[in-house]
Amino acid sequence: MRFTFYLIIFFGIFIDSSLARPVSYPGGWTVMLKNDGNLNRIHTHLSPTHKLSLGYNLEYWHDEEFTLNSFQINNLVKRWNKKNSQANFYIKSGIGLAYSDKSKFDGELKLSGFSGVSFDWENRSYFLKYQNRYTEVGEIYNAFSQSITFGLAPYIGDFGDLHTWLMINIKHQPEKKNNYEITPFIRFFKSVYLFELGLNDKGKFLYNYIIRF
Amino acid sequence: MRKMKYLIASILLCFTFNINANSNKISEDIHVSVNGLVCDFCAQAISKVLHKEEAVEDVDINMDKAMIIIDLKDGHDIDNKKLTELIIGAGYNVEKIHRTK
Repeated sequence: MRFTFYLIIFFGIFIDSSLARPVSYPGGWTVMLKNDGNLNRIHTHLSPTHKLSLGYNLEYWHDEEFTLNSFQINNLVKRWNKKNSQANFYIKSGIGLAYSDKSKFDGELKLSGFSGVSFDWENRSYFLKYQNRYTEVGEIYNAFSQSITFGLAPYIGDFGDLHTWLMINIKHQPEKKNNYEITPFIRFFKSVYLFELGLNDKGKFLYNYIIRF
Repeated sequence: MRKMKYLIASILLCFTFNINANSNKISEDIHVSVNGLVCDFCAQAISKVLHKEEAVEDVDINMDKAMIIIDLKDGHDIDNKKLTELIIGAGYNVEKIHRTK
């Protein structure tokens, strides 16, 4: 456990979010709202450079019944810019405090942290992303999760148009009984706004929203 | 009478130089080919970074051609080095810069 904690601190020095582009342009602010069957999340960050974002992350985990407050650092380790495509490798980490509502730990505050990597590739027609995350909340919760997302654009829009993506996310959580979760969703974005709406195989809705200033 | 002719000629000459000087201030468009320009968020990022520059009047982006078109204000300029630094700083790579008047 101590090793895990130090590992999180280590990655925290470098480290990303779960939606598209966890780092913005220099001086850009981003607000991300994420809601799915497992958690509700607000993550807001400022990017001092295009390789780094510093922000605050608030999560509520439904089944585990805890609230996670974290300082989050996202780091773009490497970007590959090609004529018709782009690929990115990010490290994302956060450290903070968690407050539990769960019976056994009700009212307890625990030091918490998370860390993970993500890799994405996209052109104007296809999108592919892998990401993972290890989350530790004292004795309350610790688990690894990973997911892969594939997207297809039904049409190609130009600058300022409404862009639409048909996407599917497959999430793997080894510690859970039903450890695979499949979520088809639709992504719209126009100008500085992005909105996602989906429904997973367990009947739970996904709705995410991003705005960039 | 001769003095008057010299005066008129001088005024005309000054006026001509002034026109030439002003002609150098005609606004310029810069076309920049960029690598990595694959999404609207990328384009928004570049547009916001460039709009912060005083010399920039307007920015248009053609995603089909991966091209940024920068309209400069009259009498202002951004050299290629500065432009390249701005675009790299926004997270993208410059392939080619072409200027038109």
